Amino acid sequence: MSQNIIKFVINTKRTLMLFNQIYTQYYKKIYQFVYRLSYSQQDSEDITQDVFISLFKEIESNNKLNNIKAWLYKCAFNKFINVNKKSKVISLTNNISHYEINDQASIESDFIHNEKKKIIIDAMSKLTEQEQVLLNLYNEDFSYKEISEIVDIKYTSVGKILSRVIEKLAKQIKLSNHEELCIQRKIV
Amino acid sequence: MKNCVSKEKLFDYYHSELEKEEMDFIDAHINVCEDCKHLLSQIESEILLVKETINNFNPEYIEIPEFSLKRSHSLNNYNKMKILGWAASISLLITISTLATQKIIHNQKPVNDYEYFQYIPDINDAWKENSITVTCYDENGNPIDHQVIKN
Repeated sequence: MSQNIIKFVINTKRTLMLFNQIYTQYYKKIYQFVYRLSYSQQDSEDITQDVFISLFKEIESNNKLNNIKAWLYKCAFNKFINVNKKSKVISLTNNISHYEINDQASIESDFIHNEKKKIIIDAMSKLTEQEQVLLNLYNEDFSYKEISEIVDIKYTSVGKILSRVIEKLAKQIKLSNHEELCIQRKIV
Repeated sequence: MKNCVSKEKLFDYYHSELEKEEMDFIDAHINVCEDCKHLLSQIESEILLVKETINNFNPEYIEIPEFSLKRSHSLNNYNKMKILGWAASISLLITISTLATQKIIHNQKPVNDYEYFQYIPDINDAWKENSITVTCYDENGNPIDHQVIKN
């Protein structure tokens, strides 16, 4: 009996140690991932917290997780979709108002930076929800296979969508950089 | 050039997400084709530009809070709202159906026995006199159903 209790205590300690390690390693990454989709700090905090509660329960019940990183992102993505559905916020365009842009920028560089941010947010908002998620996952260095599993799309579609989205976004970023230069010249 | 590869294929090649045969083919092709080599470097610069831009869009400061198993208020509120929403819609449905039923009953045109006989075609006076009509009334005293019982 006492041996069983010792085993239980050791297992619990191991679980906690493992969980704490994952928590400190991935908290910021998951937060950033959700933030780039929701553009809301409150939603990002809530969803990230919920993701780790789910992870804790999975580890506690000894469920085997083959790829913890992919599992965390998939969980975060699903929770984001659920929250979006519940709050009736479907597209990123609606969330942009949450994004904190410093309107009272008195310094010229701040003004230019904010202008650039606005243009790029606008470019990002033109992407579909799926394209935004794919882009963010790609940015986290996931392989095509992992991305296809997280978002639940065909493996062959991942490269096609990403190549198209990156080309489109790069064009718009270049355009915004050009506009930024024009603004700088006007100010000078 | 005839054997030039598409931008999508080059994108996959850049990430080594092609079969070995295709990878080898593009390897060999790029060494001899300046256009594809240029396209590949263009893809690379686009990727770097986009990644750099995305990474600039982060909140200024992220604090790692102490872990708690308690769910956030907003997510709990979503569930409460969901339950309340269901309860409200069910009660609304019940109220509407009750009101509709009452409305249907009250809207039935009151008919007295004499008028009821007018609805029956080819009826003669003798038959009318020797007939008994059973009428059902609602709680407000309005007739809602008639039945003719032959004498």
